[in-house]
Amino acid sequence: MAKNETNERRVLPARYNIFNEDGKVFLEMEMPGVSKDNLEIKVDGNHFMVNGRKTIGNISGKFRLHEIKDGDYQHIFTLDDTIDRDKIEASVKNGIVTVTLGIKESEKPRKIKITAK
Amino acid sequence: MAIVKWKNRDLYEPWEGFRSLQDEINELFDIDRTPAPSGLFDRNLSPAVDVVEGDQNFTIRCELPGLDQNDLDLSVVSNVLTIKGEKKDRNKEKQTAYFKKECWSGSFQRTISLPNSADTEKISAVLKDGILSIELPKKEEAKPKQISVKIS
Repeated sequence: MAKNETNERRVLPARYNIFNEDGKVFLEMEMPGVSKDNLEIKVDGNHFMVNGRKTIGNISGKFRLHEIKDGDYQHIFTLDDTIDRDKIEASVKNGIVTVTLGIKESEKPRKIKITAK
Repeated sequence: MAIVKWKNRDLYEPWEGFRSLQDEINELFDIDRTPAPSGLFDRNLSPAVDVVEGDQNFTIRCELPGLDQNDLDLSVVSNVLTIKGEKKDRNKEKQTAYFKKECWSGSFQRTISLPNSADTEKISAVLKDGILSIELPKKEEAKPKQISVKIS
């Protein structure tokens, strides 16, 4: 199992959706237990990194059911040249991180006018 | 991982079905990845739950990302706690082009039988950052007691 080098916490995959809407690419990631302060989103060249520290709090006692995994969410995506690096926005609500990636104007489909002669 | 649209590979490769079967089986042993929401094998389409018994109370946690207070229905009927809810797909009505879809949506229900020592009258629940925390204090008679013994 992959471990985070710095703090020995487990690295968890987050479920995510990627879809195209209104000329933008949306990335929705399910990160329960991640608040705004514990989320780090970085763009480094072609790499888009999302790190979320899951804080569910420590409870002492006997676990009768233990299905929730503790750890940190880590994902690295590769951005291609169609994404405008200046048009990346992110928000987090109810444990869902939504990243909006704008597509460069030059890459959008456009209509070519035909002039009749 | 590059953002590349999926293709219907079956069109070009007649044996693709077997390869995807192999992928499905490999995926079962792949712990680091989240399994796809649909496929050959049953997916766990219910939220993860923790039940912790402490000295003074029971804590029940449930992972519910993307759920609002209004999407949830909590009920206790004679020591059976039911967490019911619906995870909505916000793009359901629209024909959205998905590049990748791992998140599931739909209704779910989890029932947890509570022990007799739990005081269901004093239940409280908080939903924060996609995690629901339910606190149930123990009944007074079930709490550990310190009995001091006097030596005369």
